[in-house]
Amino acid sequence: MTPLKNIIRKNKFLDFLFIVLSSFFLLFSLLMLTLLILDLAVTGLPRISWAFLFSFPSRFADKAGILSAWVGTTCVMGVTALTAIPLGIASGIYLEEYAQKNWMMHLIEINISNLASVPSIVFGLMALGIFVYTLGLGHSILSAGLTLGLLILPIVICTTREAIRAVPGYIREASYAVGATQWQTIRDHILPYSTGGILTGIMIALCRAIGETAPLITIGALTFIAFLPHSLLDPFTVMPIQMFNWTSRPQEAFHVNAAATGIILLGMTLSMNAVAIYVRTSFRKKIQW
Amino acid sequence: MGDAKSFEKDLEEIKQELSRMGGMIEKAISTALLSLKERNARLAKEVIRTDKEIDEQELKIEDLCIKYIALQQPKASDLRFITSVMKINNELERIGDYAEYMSRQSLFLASLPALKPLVNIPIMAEIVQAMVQKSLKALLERNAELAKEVIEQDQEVDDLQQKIYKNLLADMTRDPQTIERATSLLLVSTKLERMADHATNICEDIIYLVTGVTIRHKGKF
Amino acid sequence: MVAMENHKAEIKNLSFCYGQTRVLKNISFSIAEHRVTALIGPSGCGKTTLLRCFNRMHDLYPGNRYEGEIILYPDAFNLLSKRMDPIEIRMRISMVFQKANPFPKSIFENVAYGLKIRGVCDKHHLSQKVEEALKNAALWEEVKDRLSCLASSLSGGQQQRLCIARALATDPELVLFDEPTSALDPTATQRIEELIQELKKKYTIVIVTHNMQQAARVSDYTGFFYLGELIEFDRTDILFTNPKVKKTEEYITGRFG
Repeated sequence: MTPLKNIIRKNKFLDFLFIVLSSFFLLFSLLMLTLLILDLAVTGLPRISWAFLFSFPSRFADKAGILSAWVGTTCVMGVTALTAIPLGIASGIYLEEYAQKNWMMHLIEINISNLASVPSIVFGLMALGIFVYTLGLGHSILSAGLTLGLLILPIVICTTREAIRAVPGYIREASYAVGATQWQTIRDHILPYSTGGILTGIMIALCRAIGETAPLITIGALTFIAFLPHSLLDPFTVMPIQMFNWTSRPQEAFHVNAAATGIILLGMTLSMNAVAIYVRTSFRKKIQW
Repeated sequence: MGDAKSFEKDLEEIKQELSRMGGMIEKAISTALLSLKERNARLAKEVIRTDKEIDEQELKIEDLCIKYIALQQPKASDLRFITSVMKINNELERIGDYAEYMSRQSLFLASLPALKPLVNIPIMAEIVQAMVQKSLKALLERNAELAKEVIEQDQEVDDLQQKIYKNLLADMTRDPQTIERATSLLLVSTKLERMADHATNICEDIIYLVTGVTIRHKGKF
Repeated sequence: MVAMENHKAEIKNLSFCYGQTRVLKNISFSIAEHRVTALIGPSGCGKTTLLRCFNRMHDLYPGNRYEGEIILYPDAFNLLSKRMDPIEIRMRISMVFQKANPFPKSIFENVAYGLKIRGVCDKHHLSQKVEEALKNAALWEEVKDRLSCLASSLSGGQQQRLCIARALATDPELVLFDEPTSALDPTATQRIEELIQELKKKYTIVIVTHNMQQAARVSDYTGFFYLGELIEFDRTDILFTNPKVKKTEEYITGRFG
């Protein structure tokens, strides 16, 4: 065989090796993930029933339910969304469109990205000091929502900025050339075209928040609540904490409950992700560059 | 957009100016002939005067053609058309010059007693007139057949010229008093023959324009 | 230099600095009304930069500085004056860009947008003006049955004509074309060149093109630029048959650039 053919043969073999290895790793990870979900499902799925969904927690595993937990999750997520979305989008727009590109802005940008990597329990600690004690909001849904809102704020800001940056410069120029002001350009073009990206970012951020446990424990979410909150200042619990509580009990039955809650939580996250994907694809069809 | 494209308008203008030129040339030939036949000095002077207008018209057409080439970058038949127009323009102007020369001879002959009644020269002149007319028609209609007819008529003109030469030579040999006037008439006939040659050239250019095949310098076909 | 015709605009000693670099150097010429003026020159000569001075597009980016004046007639405003509002200028002067950039909205919305931000709300009036603009841009027949379709469903040449309609909808005093056909095929290019010839009856047009032959075909006046300077400005038929400056001759005959 000519030297050239030898080299080609070796290169093709390395190609093949790489394909085999990466396929193996991919399948392995998928397998692990599948096993995890299957285990959870096999344990928890049979436990799910209307009774489970609408009962309060109890000392008896078979009577316990997640009513207070998912109501708590919903309320907290509501406050989180109301905090993070307006603040995040507005900040994103300001930073991307209005801010002068000087050293101060650069500093702010760096700090925002750093905030995103702060451990969530540190957020909880800060929230304990500021929201719970200094502002006197107590161990309440409001404190929890504000905490998580701040936690996911950097994600919303960054994805908003990315979405806005994805609008091509020549569309901006077209809008200005027709005589539009900066705000008109943002209102009529930049925002409508980046809505897809912004919504996707919001969904991702909320998915992150829904599973946060550490900061909520720090600010004092209760682990056993047998009533529904009447106001935002009432005490509460959330699904991850309920799961945490049940897994720390010795009885096997409580572990099953935890698994069931896990499945429901997983379902909620997956649906939110599905909504995000749907939003992204439908916007992508309409907005073609 | 219903109206013509701008380059088509420019082409139209060039065609119109060329038609105008052709008209001026035809008038010059017929007036020169008339002045010869009627020994009319006024008509002769008119042809001499209008030759200046013909020269100006030639420059105008040339300028239009050059601008058209620079601004419109013609291709294929448009390009052949423009280059043919430029050559035909020159040929027409030469024909105009010969008509003017004829008129000068006519002026000279009018100042002397008539040699004899003109027979062949008017016949020749009419054929030449017809050739020029037909060649212009052939150009504007891009009619190669018509152009071929004109080229074939050139032989007739050549034969007539030979006849006139023989006759005038006989006259001159017979009576030396007639030499001045006979020579003048001979010169007129040679100019008419040159006019016919130029008309033939025009038609060869037209055939190139229409068919893309050049028949110049190939002799009769 | 160029006399006799009505002036729509006059450029006086215009210079432009991008940061520390002086990109345009002391440029003076005038734009005749209802005529097409072409700006030609090799890449980087500053012709697009000059065009974008007319509608103050450079204001959108930091670090730019104008010197000199661009006087717009008949009001005799200096477009480069700090007292002139760029938004007002852009409402009177429209631009068509090199790459067709219709908004990702419907065809109707694209043309109507300029009118909407000028406060035209009446639906009937809007439809009328949109139809008029699309007819002026020679696009009406092709799109009249699908005004609510997305602009992205049109071909490249049609999109560019849509952008032209968008520019015309607001009755501009001056229409700026920045290499409008450089991204189009020859047939689409020819249609737009014919369109520009039609448009000059109603509007005054300035076109930047790197295609010399296009400038020769389409324009009445041509300015040749090189390295930020105006080398020669004259009637197109004179510039292309008998340019007075050697550099112009070299560029036009293809001996450089």
